[in-house]
Amino acid sequence: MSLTVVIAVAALLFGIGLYGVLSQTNAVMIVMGVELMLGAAMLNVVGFLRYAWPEAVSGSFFVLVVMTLMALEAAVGFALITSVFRNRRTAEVDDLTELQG
Amino acid sequence: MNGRKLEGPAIDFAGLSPLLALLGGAVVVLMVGLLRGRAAREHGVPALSFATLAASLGLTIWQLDSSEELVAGALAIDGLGTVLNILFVSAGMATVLLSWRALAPRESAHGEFHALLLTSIAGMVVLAWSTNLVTVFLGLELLSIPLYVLCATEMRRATSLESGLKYLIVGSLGSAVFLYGLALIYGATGSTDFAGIAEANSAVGLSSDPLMLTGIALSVVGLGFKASVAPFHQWTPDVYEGAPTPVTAFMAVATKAAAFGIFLRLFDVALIDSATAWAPALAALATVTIIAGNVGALGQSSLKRMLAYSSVAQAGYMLAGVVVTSGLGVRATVFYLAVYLVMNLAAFAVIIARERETSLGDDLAAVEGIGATRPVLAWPMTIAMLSLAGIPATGGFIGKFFLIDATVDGGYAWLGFVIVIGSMISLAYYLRVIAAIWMRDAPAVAQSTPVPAGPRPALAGGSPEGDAGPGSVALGAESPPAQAGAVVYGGEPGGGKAHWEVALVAVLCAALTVAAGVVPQPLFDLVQRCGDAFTNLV
Amino acid sequence: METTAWLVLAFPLAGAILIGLLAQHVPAKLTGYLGTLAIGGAFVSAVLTFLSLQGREEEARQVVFVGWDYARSVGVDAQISILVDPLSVLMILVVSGVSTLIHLYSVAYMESDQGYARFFAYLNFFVFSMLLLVLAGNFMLLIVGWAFVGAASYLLISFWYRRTTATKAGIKAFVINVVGDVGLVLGTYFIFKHTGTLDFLGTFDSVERDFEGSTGDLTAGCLLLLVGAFAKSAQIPLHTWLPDAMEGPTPVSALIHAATMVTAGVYLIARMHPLFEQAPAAADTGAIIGAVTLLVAGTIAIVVTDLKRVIAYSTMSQIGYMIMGVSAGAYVAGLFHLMTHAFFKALLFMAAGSVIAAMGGRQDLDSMGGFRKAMPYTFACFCIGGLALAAVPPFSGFFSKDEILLDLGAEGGWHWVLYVAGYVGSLLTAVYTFRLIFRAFFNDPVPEAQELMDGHLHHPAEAANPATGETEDTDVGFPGADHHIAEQSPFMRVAMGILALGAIVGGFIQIPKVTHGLESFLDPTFARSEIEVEPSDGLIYFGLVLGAVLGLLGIAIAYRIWVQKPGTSAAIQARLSVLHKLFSNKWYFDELIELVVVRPLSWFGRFGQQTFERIFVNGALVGGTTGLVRAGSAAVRAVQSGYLRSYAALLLGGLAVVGFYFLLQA
Repeated sequence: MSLTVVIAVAALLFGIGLYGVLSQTNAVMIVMGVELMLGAAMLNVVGFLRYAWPEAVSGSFFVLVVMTLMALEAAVGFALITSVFRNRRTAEVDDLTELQG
Repeated sequence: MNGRKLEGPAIDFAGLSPLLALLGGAVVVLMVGLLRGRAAREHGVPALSFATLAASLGLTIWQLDSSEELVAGALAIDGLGTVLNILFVSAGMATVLLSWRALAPRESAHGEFHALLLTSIAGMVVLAWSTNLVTVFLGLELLSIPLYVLCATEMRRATSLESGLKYLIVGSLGSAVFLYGLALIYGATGSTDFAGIAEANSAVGLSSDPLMLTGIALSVVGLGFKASVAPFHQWTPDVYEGAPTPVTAFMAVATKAAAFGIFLRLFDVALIDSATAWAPALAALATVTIIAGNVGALGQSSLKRMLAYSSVAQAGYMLAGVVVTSGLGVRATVFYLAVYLVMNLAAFAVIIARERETSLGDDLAAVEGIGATRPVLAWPMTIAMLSLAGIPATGGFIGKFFLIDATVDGGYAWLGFVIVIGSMISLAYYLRVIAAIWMRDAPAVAQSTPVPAGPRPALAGGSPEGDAGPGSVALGAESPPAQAGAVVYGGEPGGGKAHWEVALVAVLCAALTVAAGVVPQPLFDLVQRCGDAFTNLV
Repeated sequence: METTAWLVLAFPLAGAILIGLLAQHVPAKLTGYLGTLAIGGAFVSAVLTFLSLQGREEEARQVVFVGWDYARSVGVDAQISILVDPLSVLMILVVSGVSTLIHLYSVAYMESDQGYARFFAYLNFFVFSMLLLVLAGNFMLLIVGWAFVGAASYLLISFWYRRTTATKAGIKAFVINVVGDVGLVLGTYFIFKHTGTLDFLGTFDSVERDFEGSTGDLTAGCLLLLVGAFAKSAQIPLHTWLPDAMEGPTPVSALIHAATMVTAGVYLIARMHPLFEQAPAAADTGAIIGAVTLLVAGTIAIVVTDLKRVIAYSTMSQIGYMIMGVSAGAYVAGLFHLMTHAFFKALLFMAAGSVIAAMGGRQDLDSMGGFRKAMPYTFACFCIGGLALAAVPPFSGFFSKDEILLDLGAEGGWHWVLYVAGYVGSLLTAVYTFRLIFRAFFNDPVPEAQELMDGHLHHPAEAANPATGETEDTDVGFPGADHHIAEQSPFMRVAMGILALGAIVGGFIQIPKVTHGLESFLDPTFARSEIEVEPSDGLIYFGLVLGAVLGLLGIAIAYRIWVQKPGTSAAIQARLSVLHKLFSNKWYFDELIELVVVRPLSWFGRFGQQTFERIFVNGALVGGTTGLVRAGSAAVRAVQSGYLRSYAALLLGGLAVVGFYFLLQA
């Protein structure tokens, strides 16, 4: 394992997450794609912390803070999706096109 | 880590007090919102919220001249932070007034609405003070997540929910990209605080390091998204139109100020040595933004949507102040932010007032002929439009003049020219509003028809309680606008009555807009304070 | 002193706003009193300012008061500041004093006009603008005042906006004034480029240093300032708007187009004298143009038959004297003439207004005559004004005109040419002035005068525009159905009486070898001037005698031609038909401008419209641009499809482009 491998895996994760955002039509799946992307970024930070800058402890705080925020974002996201589903009986984002132009 | 003992950072509680006041106020407001008394919820909560903001403003002004670290390496108070805080808190106070008798807090819950608002402002304060990638991201999320929810607070209206969900998804996508960029910058420099990044950047000569450059590119995109810079602006019109109007007003002014605050800090402090790499890219983005925003605003009939595109264009103008990397540019950007705040609040306040007085929603028709019938609203709207267009003797003119001066001074004269061209295009849609106000007669339907024509009402039965009425599923997919018998959106608290606090915000903000154009010196002096954060700029 | 100086500006501004707001809600009559009171307040403040200025040390009589900084940190030191010094105090005294009297006159004169409140709102706004112009302490406020004055003048010339002649005249005045504004702005730019300050005193202090080795720019700047001055002061070739401006109500002609606004150019040159002294080419240009204007306008005034236009040409001619004087360094003399001229010319217009009212709105000199007995008070006032204008001792105009020519003569050199031109003009002045008096007041009474003497008033059957004969719209296009002549209105009599007094004694403050009131008062302003003249005693006495003789000779000539032998003028006309034609066609200036400027422009315009515009501008430029903007708008809105995932895709696309660009730098 080296830094390069970690960065490559992180980039792969980011790509998968991005693909998920673009390909999925269900809001829940899209939010999960975004979570993957955030996870990829965190993996980067951890990799750099472990291999490149073991002295720079602020990186570990960074990961902890982001982890919390990720959870928050997911919670709010699912709450909103639920709310939309109740209102519209759908969670397909392609149905949400009333606002346009 | 490595057996070293970690010492807790020194925390300056006096300096942090504006932030603490906001967070404490948020908790109190949330609790008071649980009380059973209607008056306590409907008036006590906003009053407390307002008092919290006033306290925070007072504490900020108390700290006006301080410039020091608040939390070691994470937050620091300085001129830029203080000035931006004043802007955020003022915008918050205006928003509380605008939403006092609005539909959104009643549909959700007063306590929650105001607690979210205060939390979002707290996020902005964190962002304005942050000197560290961690706090930047923390602040950004703290301001964004409550906003996602606030956008969706008119829970019976499909467009409100749609705007909330759209904002959430595109917003978190932007956050993810931004975070990835920050991670790469951390990887390239080994530091998360701005001073360390700047040091590593200049010492090691990272300005052509691919890791660093990719990091900067991703941060540009992430922040560009938050500041609605084209081509990352697409959420803006949809979300602005769909969100409850007081929330739109808040988003338009406060989020923009926060995004540009961090634009200035990140690019003009931490990444200043890579300016040769990012400045041309930002200049190109500014050009695209100015054109896309102004061109998109043409022919919009929804005032909120028009102002959304206009805010995209204004973001382009302000980006020019970042591009030039000079003290003048910083001051011009902050000056424009302040002016932008008051002129937009004036316009949104008028839209809110007309939404409540008529059943036309935010359509252009709602302001037709108000020059004769409602001069107290017509004048603020006229002043706001003239100022947005940059007509002399308004704050918008001085702001644009300042920005153009900065671009010429900073060697980006062509960008100043783009600003002028953009302003010329913008006249077409701003003057259209003024013409509607003064030259048309009020439409006959405005005050009389019971059926709303403008805003699309939520579908019958689509209430949060889930009592799905018959037919609501069948209609769900297509959602035809203006179903007879649907929940009437226009006819709402106040039932066609004018609300004095909304008019007060409109008049006050319009007066400030004019004041900034006639007596700009006090604002110049205030903005002058922002320079101390940028020691490495000329 | 600071407070009183600001009050000078505050009173008329407050008056204009108050009248504008109250016009709908209070009786019209009240707005007239309100307007007069506001200007009266300004005059009192001006007097107080004068007194406290005189109480200061002589070195401390140039004071700048900064209201607030407008914009100091953008590389421009734009301030809301006023400069109080003897020059500006003299100007505010004259402007507010004469304005007060003209307001008083208007209260009666405009009484039956439908736009009474509107008239006073405009008039107060004009006075505010004019006071702002003369009090401005920097170029920015000067330009603002300059433009406001032009706008107010436009509003008042086309006050009767249903009259096509009035609106046309208003537009003409506005266009020429805008030409002047552009000149002033460009001139300011040329000067600001070198000095880096907008402040007057700062500019004057550093002018020598800043323009070292680049006097070309200074000369260009001063010439452009002269363009501004010529346009406002109706000097050749930018004078054609002034006679047409007589379409406005008579009090407007008296206030704006005789006493105050048209002297702004004189004030400008006097104010900028430190610049002009460093740019002698520009100063000489001003002096020559002034001399030419005074002669040309004098010749035209002899043949024009419209009562007010004769006075208008006389105004041009007298301002020619002033411009000639201040350009050639005779500052005190020029301003002295400005002051006395304000008195006697306003008086003449007021008296003329009285005559026109008696004629039922007609201004044609050919149909007037014999009003001497019908309107003795008006006649007396007209005579006093006329004697002052014709420079007959001891009336005020005699001393002020004498002073200008005396200074020019003492300077020697080629200024002798100006000296001679001035005396020729002096003779012309006396002739045309008394031509007016003899034709309007002497000989047999015309029917209108006869009716007046019998106690009736002449009413035309149907109100008609005397210039075109078209029927008037009595709501806005007519001075009012009633006659307002001085004999019957105490307000008008008081206003005219005070001015008449001024026209008689105004000259006594500055008599050669006797009094030096004005000179010592203005000294602090012109202390830095390098031009010093000491006329010899011989020249002084020669000038006084020559001036008096020419004035009396002119009157004698006029008496001979128009009273003793009424046919003479026709005979002369026949004999000198070429000259008469030249003069009565106003030296063909309108035609010349038509030929040189308007025709080529309209030809070019037609060509432009028919070929260039249709094909290139409409087709490619406008069509292309609007098409482009429309297409862009459509594109932006099409991309805004509402589909969330397409937004994400665009975000990704943008990300790819930005990322690619950044990686290129690696």
